[in-house]
Formats: sequence, C-alpha cells, structure tokens
Amino acid sequence: MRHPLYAIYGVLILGFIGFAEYNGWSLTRVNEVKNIPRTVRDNPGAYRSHYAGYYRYFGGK
Amino acid sequence: MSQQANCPNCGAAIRFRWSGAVQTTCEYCRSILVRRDVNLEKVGQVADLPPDVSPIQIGTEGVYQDKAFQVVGRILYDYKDGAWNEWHVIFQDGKSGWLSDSQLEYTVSFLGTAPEPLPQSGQINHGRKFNWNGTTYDVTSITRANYRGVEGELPFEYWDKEHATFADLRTEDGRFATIDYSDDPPLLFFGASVDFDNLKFKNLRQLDRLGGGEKTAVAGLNCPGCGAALSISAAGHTLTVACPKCHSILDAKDPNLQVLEKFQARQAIDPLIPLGSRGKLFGTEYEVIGFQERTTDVEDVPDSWLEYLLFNRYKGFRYLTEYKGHWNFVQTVPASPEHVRSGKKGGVRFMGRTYKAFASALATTTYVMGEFPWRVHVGEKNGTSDYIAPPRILSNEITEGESVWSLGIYMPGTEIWQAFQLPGQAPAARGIYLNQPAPFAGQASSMWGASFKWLWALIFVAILFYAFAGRETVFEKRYSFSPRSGAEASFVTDTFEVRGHPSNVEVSISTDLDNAWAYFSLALINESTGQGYDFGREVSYYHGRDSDGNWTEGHRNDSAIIPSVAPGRYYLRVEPEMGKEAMSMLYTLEIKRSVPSAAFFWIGAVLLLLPPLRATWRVAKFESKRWSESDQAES
Repeated sequence: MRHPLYAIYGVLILGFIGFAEYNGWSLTRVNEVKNIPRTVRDNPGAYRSHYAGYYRYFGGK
Repeated sequence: MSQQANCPNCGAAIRFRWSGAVQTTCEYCRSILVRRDVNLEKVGQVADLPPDVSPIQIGTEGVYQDKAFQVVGRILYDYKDGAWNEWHVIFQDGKSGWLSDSQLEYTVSFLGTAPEPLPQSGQINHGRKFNWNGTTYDVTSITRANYRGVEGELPFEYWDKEHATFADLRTEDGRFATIDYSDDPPLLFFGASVDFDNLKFKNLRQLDRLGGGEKTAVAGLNCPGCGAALSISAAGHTLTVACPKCHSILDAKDPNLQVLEKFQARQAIDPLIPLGSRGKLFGTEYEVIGFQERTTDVEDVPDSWLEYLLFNRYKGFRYLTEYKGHWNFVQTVPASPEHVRSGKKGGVRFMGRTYKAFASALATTTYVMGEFPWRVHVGEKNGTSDYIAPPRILSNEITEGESVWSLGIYMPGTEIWQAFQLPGQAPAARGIYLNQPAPFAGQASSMWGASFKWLWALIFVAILFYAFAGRETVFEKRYSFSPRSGAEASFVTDTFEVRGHPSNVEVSISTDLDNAWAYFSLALINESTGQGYDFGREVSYYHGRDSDGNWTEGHRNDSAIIPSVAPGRYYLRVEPEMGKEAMSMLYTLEIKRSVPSAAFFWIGAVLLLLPPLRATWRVAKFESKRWSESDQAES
C-alpha cells in the first residue's frame, strides 16, 4: 500500500459517513425543546412555538 | 580454401575463424596475407601496433540482437583526439559486421546500401541530414583518421592505407550510420550504439577493472611544472592532465608531459570527492579521475557547477555534476534527439521521452584538475542547452562544430556519499534544481489513483444505504385548514411509534395551495419525555402569465429533517397559518424515519479529494519555482 496514511484517512471518512448516516445525523438543525408539558396534548394552543408568528413574505411574482 | 593454411612467409599454421576472410595476418611473423585463388600471398607487414587499451581482443565473443558473434579481426585508426578500433565480427549465421570501440563507447554496424549516391568527403558537413529508409540521420562528426594497422581476418584487402575520412551520423533514437571514405565510392554502414553490458562479452582482455592492465598500468609521473606526483589511471584514453598543485595542463600523449598551458586559478578548489576515489554507481565501479568547474555568466552574475569525471576501463567515462548540493549522474549519448514542441515550450524527443527546453547558456571552463580524455582548456567556452524530463536531463554542448548530447539522472547527495564512502554527510541541497524530481509528483498521481478507489467505495456505501435504508412511514394523515373558520388553528396528531435505533425523521407536507401561501409551526414531541423538536416550514405556490409567458414560483410541498431522533412514542403539534384572504387548503402530513441523506456522501467525496488536491497543489508550487529559473517563457 503506497499511502498508508491516506488509507487510514479513507477508512475514517467512510466510517464517519456510515456512522452519521446510520444515526441520522443531519446538517440541518431544529430547535430542541426540553420538558414540554403534557398539557400540550390537551391544549395545543397553549404551546408557544418558537416559530409561531414568524411572518415572512410569501407574495408571488 | 580450407580453414587452415600455412603462412607463405614463415610457414606457421594459419587457422581461419571465418571461411569468407579475404585477408588475415600471421600471428607469428605478423605478415599481412591475402587470399589469391587457393593460395595465401604476403602483401605486407603489420607495423607495431600502439599499446591497446581496448578490453576487446581477437577471439572475444558477444551477443548482439540475440545473435552470438566472435571477433576475428580489426582495423586500428587514430586521430587527433585518440584512437579507435573497428573490430571485424562474424555472427553465428556467417554474417559479417563491425564492432567499433571509441573511448569505450560501442557501436555495431553492417555494410548497407545507400539509396542515393553519397556525397564526396569534401561535400559533407556537420549537421547535414540524410533520409535513408524513412529514418533521418544527422551528421554529428567528421573524423580525419590515420590508418594504424590491421590484425586478424577481414572481409576485404585493407593494408596499404594512410588516411581515411569518416562521417558519423546519428538518429534521435540512438541508431547510427557511418560513411566510410576509405574506399571509392564511399561505403555506408548502418548500426546502433550498444551498452557494454548488453553485448554480453566473453573472453575479454583481462584488465584491472579500473586502473589498467598489463600494458595500461596506472602511470606514475611527475609534473614537469612543479614536480608534484601525478598518476594517469585512464592511460590510452587520457589526452590532458591538469596538475592540482601548479595548475599546469599537460599533454598526456607526450612521454615528457609537455606543458600545454598554465592557468591562474581564482582560488584552489577542493573537490568534494577527491581524485582517486572509487565508488560503485548503478552496479559499476568508477574512479574519479578528473574534476572541473564550469561557470555561466548570465547578466554579469557568475554561476558555477562542478563536474567529476568518472572512469571504468570497460564501460568508459561518466560524469557526476554538482550544483548547490544537487547531483546528477551523466553519460554522453550517441544520438541526435529530434527537436519538437512540448506544449508551449520547445523540446527534444529522445528514446521515446520528450524533454522540455529549460535553459541555454554559454559555459566557460574555469578550473580543472586531473585527467581528461579531451584537450581540456581553461577559458574554453561551450554553448549548452538543457532539456528536462525530471529526474532526467538531456544536455547539448556545441564545441567547435561538434554537437555532443549527454543524459543525466538526478541523484541525492546521500547516495553519492554512500557510493564513494565519503566521510561526513553530503552538503544539503539548496533551492530547486532544474531536473530535481518534485518530491510529491509520484505521490500526487498515485494518490489520485487511490482517491478514485475510495470514491468508488464511497459510492458503494451510498448505494448500500439507499438500498437498505428503512424509509419507514410512521405517520400519514390528511387535514384541511381554513383561516376564515376562526377556530383554533393548532392541534396535535395521534401518537405514533418511532422504532429502532436513533435515526433521522423526515416530516413532509403536501398541500393543494394555488396562488397562496401557508406556514406551518411544527413540533415533534416525545410523549413520555416531553422532549420536542420545534421547527417551521413555509409552503407557497404561485403561478400566472405575463409578457414573458407562463411563470411559477415556489412549490406545493416541503419537508424537514429532524436529526437523531431517539426511539419512542411521538406526536406532532401542528399550527398552520395562511393569509387572511385565503380560503382553505387540504394538506397531508407524512412522517418517515431513517431517510438516507446525500449531504454526508458529498462531504465525504470532498474530504477524500483533499489529500490528492493538496499533493497536486504542492507539485504545482514546486514546478512553478523550478520554472521560475528557466529562460523559457511560459507563454
């Protein structure tokens, strides 16, 4: 093997990708919220979403 | 006539090695004998031949192009710069040929037929080209030689000669031709240069492999200028000797070592490899017998390099050149490389390899020491042109109308030190030398090869993931939403199970929006832990027609990926929102787990390409530095 370091590097890259794919890693992030009260189930309107009221321009051309 | 006869002069038995011989010599009385019908006739007497420095002798056997041959005769010539033998050889199939050894460079040639009348000797000149049988031959040297004697069997009568002119011609791939003006009309011989090792000689003269043999022992002499002891290791080949003490240049052909000139050295130079050192390079033992400094003067900036002359009595002369710690092992090549274009640069083609033109200069010999097989002269100027194909360098020197090509190969100083067992360490190489191999050149190309293998492996892994990924739908339901209803928009879905190992979860929204927008505030909530993933997605789809024609903007669908969701029971809190002018929409929420993502594979591909890209960049940087020293413009 002419490039043992590159071979190790390649194994690490493929291993990392396999691990990331298997565990469902993603480059996108979502806001993680802890301890959401169980009452949300009964009163969904009581929950204040981080994204609620986040108004955007949606106009067409 | 039989293979045996008796000398008509002394009666000694004459045994012919070749039945076609026309002339032979008596080994006892040295009569020159010519066949006349069935008899031998004495036509002359062989003069005393000068001491022979060739390792070849009558009876030597060898192989050329897989055919065995035996040396049966020779003609000896000399000229102003030395002597050479034309050995008459007979092949196993009875074919007659010639083996020439001039300064231990060997060529094998055969009598050929000229497709056109050959020019007279006065009409031929250096550089003239001939095209014979589709091959271009360049006249590389014209030699006015003196006939010095004959020995053994020859295919013709050859005994009453005085002078002969020879024009040597070369091709770019080492083929060879000679026009022999010793006869009228002139004869044309075709052949090729051959390495000593390739001829697989047997029955050579036993010479000291370095210093000499019975007739060519190392000569111990004293400098007539200062009395310093001198030795001549390449006796028979050496033409001049430079005394390292008084800087006298002596005529080695003169028994009294006549002083030819005396030069003024700016300062004495101590060669890094002392004269007399012996070392083994490429399997052959060489002795350092000469040393010279040569200097170029470009824009009034003198720049010098050193040349060590190496000698082996069987294989001849080689050179080691040194410049700022960079070394090259060099040997002259009997060829006339073809000039070609190499990219945007000029170049030459030699033995199937293209060499790029690098630099041309006028080199002056500024210091000499030891033996030289040419008439060395301090102050002598030669035009030099260098062409490179690292680690090789092809150099052309023009001297007095003679064009000499030499091929060098770059060597690390450590190998030179090891070969000659020199004390200490080789001086560190400074800067980048013109034919120095780029340290990462091989690494870059092989790393590209390896990277493509890894990319294939990556594609294979991607195929596996895409083929076997779960893509399990854990929830799917269709809903409607009307902003005008006034009801609470937010709601939660039924709970659903996310099974298996932690994996990503894809939430997809498919709507029937038409020239409208919707926004979804979403939260995926774990029923038992209360942990949630809060995110929003906008969906809008507009279309119409204007002066440019039909247009659309946006999509009716969207999705979001939630990474690394632990297994458990989940529900989705959904809060849709639309513009107040909107009527209503139908939409479907679909939730899948373990959805393959291409992003990491693309990142992996980029990461795998980084090392070869880096190596290539380093090679390019190295080459840029190398060519910054060239006088060949990049444009």
